[in-house]
Amino acid sequence: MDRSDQEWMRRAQAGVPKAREEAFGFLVGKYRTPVVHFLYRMVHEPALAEELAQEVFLRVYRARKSYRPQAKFTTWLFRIATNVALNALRDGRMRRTRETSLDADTGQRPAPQGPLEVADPTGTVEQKMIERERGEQIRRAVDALPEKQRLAVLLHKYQELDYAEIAAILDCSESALKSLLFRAYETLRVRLKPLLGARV
Amino acid sequence: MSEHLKEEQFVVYLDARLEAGERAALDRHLAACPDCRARLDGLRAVMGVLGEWNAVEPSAGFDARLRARLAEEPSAAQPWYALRPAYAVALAAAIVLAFGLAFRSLAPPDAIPAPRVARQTQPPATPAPQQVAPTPTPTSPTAAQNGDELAALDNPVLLENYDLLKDFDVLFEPIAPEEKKSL
Repeated sequence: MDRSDQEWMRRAQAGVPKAREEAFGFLVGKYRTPVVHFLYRMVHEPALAEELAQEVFLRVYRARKSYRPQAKFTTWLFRIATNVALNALRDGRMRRTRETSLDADTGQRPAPQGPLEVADPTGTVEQKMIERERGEQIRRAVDALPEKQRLAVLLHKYQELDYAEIAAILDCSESALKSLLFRAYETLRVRLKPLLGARV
Repeated sequence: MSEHLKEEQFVVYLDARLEAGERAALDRHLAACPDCRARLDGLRAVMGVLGEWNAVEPSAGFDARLRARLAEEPSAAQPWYALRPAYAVALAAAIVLAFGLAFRSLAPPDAIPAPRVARQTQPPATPAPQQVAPTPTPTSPTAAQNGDELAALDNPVLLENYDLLKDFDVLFEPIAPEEKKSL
């Protein structure tokens, strides 16, 4: 599957506009959702996550010539996504978007956790509120992790990248990454103890 | 195996990415070590709970917006000046100006035409106090002998822009003789 990504990238690097657009379109279609999910969990703002995802794909497009097939496409993609997310968090774009997103968010997005959601076909309103509250507790616990641990958890748990990829993105050894993940999950286990209930 | 699990082994164990031999050794230790077992159960539980945090889906207009932004991106096949015509015009103007300045600074003093002011200090042959529109100065015999280029120096407007016009002669198509005469 990943070899296929590399082949698509090779086509995206080609000078033929039609082949380039087709290849790039395939990669956007395949990774649009994972990239938006990752960025949403980093910045917690749907509108900003989507804006940043667009920026990620634009950067991929602009830098397509510099991609080397020896590297996995997802490693390259999520390294760019990580940089874009960290830059946004550091330059305070999150706060600015939060201030304007109520008026500016025009995207027709199915919002599974949106506060304006009323219809509840899968359960009672009470159940939905409990799920939302649990999700919010998890978000706060993950958000409180040190930056590198947070990134490691998001890339490992939610993006399911392999150790070598995450280590390359975070610029550390695989062994260091495994220890990092252990410490992150240990911290989360303590912070989320109320949610674990009978699981522990 | 009597040693407790190392930090880096817990997550790999839970991900089921251990080799069979190592896995069997850890299983033997876990069967005999309640501490490691409790730790492992705690990590397994928290990794399960984390799955309850859902993310938003991309909006329906995501691809269309991205396509629109990509359409504004410069294509690798096009040179930059093809995408920004204003840059090309500015560059051409800068080159012309640079040539003009270089010609002015490098040329020997006698190659630079005499300033118009000096010509005007010469008393006119006949006073023309009622003159409103400038009339072409009659071509002097010397200028006529040296051709059109020197003849043009007698035209005050052309004289003022002599350097630029000279550079244009170098850079662009030479002016047809009939057109030159009309100047």
